[in-house]
Amino acid sequence: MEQVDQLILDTAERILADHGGPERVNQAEDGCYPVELWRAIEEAGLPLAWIGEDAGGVGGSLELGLALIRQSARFALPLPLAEVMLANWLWVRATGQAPETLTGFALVSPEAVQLRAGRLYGTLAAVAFADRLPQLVLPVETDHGLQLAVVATVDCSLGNQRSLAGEARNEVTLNGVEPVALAGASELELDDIQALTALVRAHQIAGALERMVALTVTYVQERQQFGRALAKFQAIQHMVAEMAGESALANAAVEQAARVMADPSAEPSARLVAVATAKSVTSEAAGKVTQLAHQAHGAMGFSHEYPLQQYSRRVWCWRDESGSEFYWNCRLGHHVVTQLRDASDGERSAWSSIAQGF
Amino acid sequence: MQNIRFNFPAPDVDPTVETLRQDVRAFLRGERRQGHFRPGTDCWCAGIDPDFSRKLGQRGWIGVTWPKRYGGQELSALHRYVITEELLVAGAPVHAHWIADRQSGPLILKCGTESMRRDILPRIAAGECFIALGLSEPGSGSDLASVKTRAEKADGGWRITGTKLWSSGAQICQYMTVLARTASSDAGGRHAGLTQFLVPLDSAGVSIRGIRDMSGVEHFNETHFDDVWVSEDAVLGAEGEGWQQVTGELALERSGPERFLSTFVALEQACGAIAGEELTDHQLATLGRLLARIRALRSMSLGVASLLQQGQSPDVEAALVKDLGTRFEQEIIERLREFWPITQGPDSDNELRALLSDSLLRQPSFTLRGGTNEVLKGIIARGLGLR
Repeated sequence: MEQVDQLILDTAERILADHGGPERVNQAEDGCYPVELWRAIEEAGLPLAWIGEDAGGVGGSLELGLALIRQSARFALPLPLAEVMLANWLWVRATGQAPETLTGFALVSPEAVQLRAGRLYGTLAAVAFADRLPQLVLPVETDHGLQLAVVATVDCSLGNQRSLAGEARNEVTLNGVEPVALAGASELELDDIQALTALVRAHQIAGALERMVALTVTYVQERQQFGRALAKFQAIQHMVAEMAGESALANAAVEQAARVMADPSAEPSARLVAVATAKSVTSEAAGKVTQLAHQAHGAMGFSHEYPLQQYSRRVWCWRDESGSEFYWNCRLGHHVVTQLRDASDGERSAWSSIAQGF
Repeated sequence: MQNIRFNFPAPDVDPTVETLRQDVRAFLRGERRQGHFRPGTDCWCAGIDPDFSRKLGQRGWIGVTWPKRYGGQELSALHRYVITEELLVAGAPVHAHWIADRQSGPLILKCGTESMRRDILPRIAAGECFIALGLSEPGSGSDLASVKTRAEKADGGWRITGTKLWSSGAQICQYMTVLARTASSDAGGRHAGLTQFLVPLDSAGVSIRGIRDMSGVEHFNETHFDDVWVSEDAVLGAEGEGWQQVTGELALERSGPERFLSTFVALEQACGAIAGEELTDHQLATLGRLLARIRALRSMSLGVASLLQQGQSPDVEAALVKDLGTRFEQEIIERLREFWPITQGPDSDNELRALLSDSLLRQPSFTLRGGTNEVLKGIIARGLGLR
């Protein structure tokens, strides 16, 4: 990581620590949107991390942006930083400039939305923070290939669905909405967008898991039972070691996938394998770490006041968004088996499919 | 908490690494085609073939990171990593030289005398000198500091008496690194007063007895040292520093690809065998999960290798790799039972079935050797500040 990247991450850390925190997260869920926190994030230019300096952004690398997203998840950030970053990145890829209004991102399956006579029809399920974002960018399959459409949220009808963590995941209905803008996706394919979205969720999970391990370490050191700290019980030590392993594995997988995605010479198959690995491993770890963290915390972890639940509910949601481990395992299995089946030279192996790159 | 790095640095990749990988793959294909080896599970422990090790030595693929003057190639840790992972996934019989290449050689390089380096390292690199580990004893397993083997100064050298147990491959090795007590544990704590010796196994008073394991292989040994005299030069490292030296090797010993690839050869053949069939999503997901997890473990293991290359001592991170990796190489076989029930003995004519049976019979050792997973979890807990 470059020195300037570290500077940006340090700034973000300060903002998230000063303006965020467990109380803010609970308040946000209770309907008190953390306006100041969002303002500080915007003023620091974080939503523009993936936008080039020529388009008014930070010009950060893919890895920096993902590191930022991972860091924001360590604070259970109840705001659409990742979604806005994705939307901005997509829109700049398509048009060369950043959207003028705060824009979120909706990933839809190709069949979900149709463009007919310049208008959009269809229903988008569970769009993150749609009720807080004036615009949404969404990929649309058209006769001219994949295009990106920007729609004004006021033109759509929104349901008020919430995620497990109480974050907005609105159903958005487009009933003949005229896009504010429409642009070709410039070489992007739906698979690329889907992969990046999954990698974003994987990074969020990895960040949250790190914090869950840290919370648990602190808790078992402080909590006394039978005359000693829980940390002194071997059974507890082994549980925490298990959590640390899953968390470390999750981090290794997301960092490796970020390197592959950032490498312009990486083949599409290498990107698929890297992202499938990252989302599979993090989604599986989400379940394991959550179970162990709650077991180690006892009833305290189950209470609303103690912050563990903010992370548990988020990772439970993120693990099933953008493809669960079951989905990505299946994709990876299918990919490897297909490569084996298609191999004509007998030199192809499952190993060579998964062990490309470092 | 601050002692654990959850961020693993990317390895420095140099283009010659991939060339080397292709060379190793081509060599292994050739050897298999000529019937020089049959892929085996847990090959780095059960596959003993000194001739095969010599062939690797002739190609310069043992001790690759060592200085050229000691027979090495002065290549990076990543070059070594690529060689080892390709040998493992091919199920090549590599046990004979494995320990010397992985840890005894590096230990000699770091702590040995100049004459040891000049005499022994080039022979290891040539695949002609093999070294066994002399750590466990009948009464000392996880509690290694309780070893009873004693070495006392005598006749211008040392006299060693005791028994070492579970030394893999000792029957074909020229040396054993023996951990012995050279001073009482009363002074300076139980980790003090231990010294490592590099003992020639043809010394008078050494007797080696093979032990058959539950899979039928006789790679374990019990080695008796009956008042064995060794010269002053046999002290490996510093007198009384044995414990620090042994634990200093652990990151090398615990984080390599052999800690998650022992049974990969079975998974590879399984994938090949069913690739042509119509598979359900559930079956694809089962395979996909195993492959995803291996890939993630590999990233983590490579990250530890990078930390080692940077001169750090990632003992805790290495323990994480070994704890997760060894349980996972066991799990691979459990999952593959869904496709192929395992009931027959390992001498089946069907190569895949034989690999599966053999893997199952060998898997209890994965989470024991090189530090049980319970000991590893203790190390991790200490790294997290819980102990």
